[in-house]
Amino acid sequence: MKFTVEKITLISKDETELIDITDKVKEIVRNANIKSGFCNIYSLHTTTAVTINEGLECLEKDIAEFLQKIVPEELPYFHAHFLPQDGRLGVNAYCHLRSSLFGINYVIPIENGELLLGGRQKIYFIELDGPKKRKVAVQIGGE
Amino acid sequence: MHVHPIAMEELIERDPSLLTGMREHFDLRTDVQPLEVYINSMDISDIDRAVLFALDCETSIGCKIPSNEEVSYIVDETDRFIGFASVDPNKKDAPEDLKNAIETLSLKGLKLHPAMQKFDILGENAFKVYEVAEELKIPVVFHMGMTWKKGLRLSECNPLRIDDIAIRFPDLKIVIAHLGWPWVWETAILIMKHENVYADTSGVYVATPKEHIKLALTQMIPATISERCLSDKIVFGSDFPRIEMNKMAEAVYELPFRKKVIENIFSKNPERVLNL
Repeated sequence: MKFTVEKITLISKDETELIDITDKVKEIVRNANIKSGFCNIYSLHTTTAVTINEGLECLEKDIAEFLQKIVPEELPYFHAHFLPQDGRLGVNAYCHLRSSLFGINYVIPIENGELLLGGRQKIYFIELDGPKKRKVAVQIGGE
Repeated sequence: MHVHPIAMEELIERDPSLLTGMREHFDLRTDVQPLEVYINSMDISDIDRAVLFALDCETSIGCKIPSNEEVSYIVDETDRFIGFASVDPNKKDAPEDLKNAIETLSLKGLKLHPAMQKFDILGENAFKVYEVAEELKIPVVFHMGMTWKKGLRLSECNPLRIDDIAIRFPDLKIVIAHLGWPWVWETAILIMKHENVYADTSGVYVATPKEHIKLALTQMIPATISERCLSDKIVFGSDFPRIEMNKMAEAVYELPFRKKVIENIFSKNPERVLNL
């Protein structure tokens, strides 16, 4: 059994943004030379998420709008106070909550050296507190 | 107005000690971000240009976070920034340092933080610096109001202390940072009284940007009074990276003010302060 970890660096352009990372992850899987195993895509940030969905711009907009509706920015969150460990206020409770809805990782099987994805499935990194520079770890395990 | 480039990746790569300065002295422990993120934040906030501050704390804590040269380096990289110098009024050469920074580095204003730089804003040394700033026709931004850092004296940051400077230097454009929060009324009477005194909206202290700016400009000071008496003197400021530019901008855009007042805050008032 072999394990590898590689990191993808992204720079988001908007506060909420779905970034298609399918091709980048596929390339890492191909270079890993693993015939059968798994690929764990894991964001290193608590105000981001990872998901799989159909790769359509209209759906990206719908997901972003839906998140904004179900977790409103303006609620009296506890988080909005001074955080000495950060040296700033917690002004992004809604970003953390939106992240929790999706989770920050996704595991995809590897079969015959390729990601096992359906024809319409794309892997998305979701920025929820951008613009920011972000890192996504891609862990591959198998043989 | 009011962006600190201390967490900018390009500067930290050139001078790794900035990271220590940011974490230990500026008390900010957020992630370092590249210039591109600063630009992207401005783009989604409809901000054409932002003012970057240097901060010279050599006497008080032994560092510049960042230096005038470092601010100038970033300003030269893109046309999206206007750089402000900082000098240490505790140093004898401060007036000359300011003159050099403006004339040789193309910086356009002066940033001072009386509590962090530990100087007397009404002292003789500081007055010599203001004299040069007035001669050079550049604005001066004073940190005023709340500071979280233990060991720094809040009494140094009461905006009422600006009154004496505004009287003595009527041609010096002065910006009270952070609306002087929580001394918002003190800031208000100063900007109403003195033609040369302005205030910026930067920073939040007990609430999200939207809650904070609404509290300061529609509740602590009623919205009618803010619109009627302050709308020509308030300039947009964020305090990035302590607060994201886009979050602060959205908060100010959503204030229940007339469209013209919002335009003043984002465009006309900063243009007047910056002599654009």
